[in-house]
Amino acid sequence: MLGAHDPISGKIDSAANLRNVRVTFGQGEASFTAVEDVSLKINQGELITLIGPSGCGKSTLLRIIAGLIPQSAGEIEILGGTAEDARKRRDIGFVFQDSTLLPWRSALENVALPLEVGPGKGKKSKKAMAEPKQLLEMVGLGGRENAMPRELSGGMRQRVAIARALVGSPRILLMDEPFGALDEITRDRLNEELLQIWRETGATIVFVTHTISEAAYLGQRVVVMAANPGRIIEVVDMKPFKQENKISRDDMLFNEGISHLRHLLSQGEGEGGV
Amino acid sequence: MSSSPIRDKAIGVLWPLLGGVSILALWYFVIIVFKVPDYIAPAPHEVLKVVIDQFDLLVANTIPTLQESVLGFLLGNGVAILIAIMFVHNMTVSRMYYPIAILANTIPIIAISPILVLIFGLGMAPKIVISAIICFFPTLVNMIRGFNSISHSELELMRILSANKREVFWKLRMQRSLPFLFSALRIASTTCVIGAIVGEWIGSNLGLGALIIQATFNYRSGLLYAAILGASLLAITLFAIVVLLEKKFLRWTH
Repeated sequence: MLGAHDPISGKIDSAANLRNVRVTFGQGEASFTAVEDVSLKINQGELITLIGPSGCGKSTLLRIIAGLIPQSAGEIEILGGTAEDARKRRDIGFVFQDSTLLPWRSALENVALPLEVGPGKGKKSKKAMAEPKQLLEMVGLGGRENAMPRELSGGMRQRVAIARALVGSPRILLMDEPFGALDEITRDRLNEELLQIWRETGATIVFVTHTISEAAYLGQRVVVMAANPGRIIEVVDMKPFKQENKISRDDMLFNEGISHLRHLLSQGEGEGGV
Repeated sequence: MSSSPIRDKAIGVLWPLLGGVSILALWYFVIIVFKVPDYIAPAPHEVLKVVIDQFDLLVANTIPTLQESVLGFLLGNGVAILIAIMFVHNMTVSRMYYPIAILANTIPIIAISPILVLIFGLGMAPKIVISAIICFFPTLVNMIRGFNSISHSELELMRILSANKREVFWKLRMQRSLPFLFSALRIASTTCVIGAIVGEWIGSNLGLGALIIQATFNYRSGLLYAAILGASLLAITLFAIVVLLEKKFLRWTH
């Protein structure tokens, strides 16, 4: 057992704990190692970002935490148990790069989907719809409940997807390049709003991105990864690069942090065989 | 250039109307210039005369064809949908029988129609079965494609939500398959009429197919053309019903 349970308080200290995890797809000569020997402990309530070149296994890592991909080796503990159990309790929310809204459902109906499927589902009553409605308001889409996905912009669709992932108050929110397809202005605004949501919900957020500034801006810690095989190079604590209570993108200190990340990434690129 | 929606719509109707008139004119032209005798090809107004004079006869023969077409449509598409559901849920069954289904689709339906008449006799049954078989294959193939048209991330979303197989089917696959289903039903709405008429050709003394054969052998070309007109109207009506249902149940693709 990993030391997930604090024997004194009985509290779980980590949201996710990965030790020496390896994921290999396929068998024999055609096999491909997506991530190799990954150890990472994600604290409860932290906002951690994963960055690296394509093929570094950052999306795979997110799916391991969600329990969508089984590990080939190593140990994984999610909230002191398995990812499957956490999913069943609605303790894991997931936001995809493409919003994955069901086009035949309105914004509200999309957010309500988690109430209609799965083991913990309740009947879709007026009372049950209160939560989706509230969440839509929280992501700034109050009044757009009946809009169909095709009527919404890319940024709005992603907000709906975030609202859907927040149904059932998950303790872990996994986000796979959620703003990757958006323009920079929209992305900056959604970054701001995500920080707001993070403070309000107190959820642990694991955020995958391929944009250095986004990783630096959002993350309390940034996990820097490299490819061939996918692995963690370094976990950078961003606290020294951020002023307390407010982060400015133009800040000298913050730009130093970005430079540091960029340096690590180019180092990782040099190490890996192509 | 000014344009209003009403005017655009009027022009949209006007052009095909003009096209129709031009074809009628060509029809008259060919008949007059080449002196085509009545029993080979009637002039349009003679067809119209038959439609009015023999209206009761035409209706009496349209009703059985309508019944066969609709029942064949429902049977063929219903069975196709059920088998598609079975294929999607059972890989072994799918692997065993899907290639055979594809292969069977290449058999010309007219070639096996006599067999069906032998098996089901001379009543309505063989016509319904032939009509059903014609509808069956496009719908089966389309439904399977539709059920499998869900995206990888949609499936992952359902796994995140711990949805079971049944929920994935009803909340996702069924919805995704609807555009595919309706494009198959559009095809079936006209082919089911073909099936019924082919069935009537082989052994029947009632129905538009039977009327077509009788009129041909008796050189009653006016009646022949009127029967063909009836068959077209039948197919167009069924097609329109499918389109209306599609508009009602498939709002999100429009």
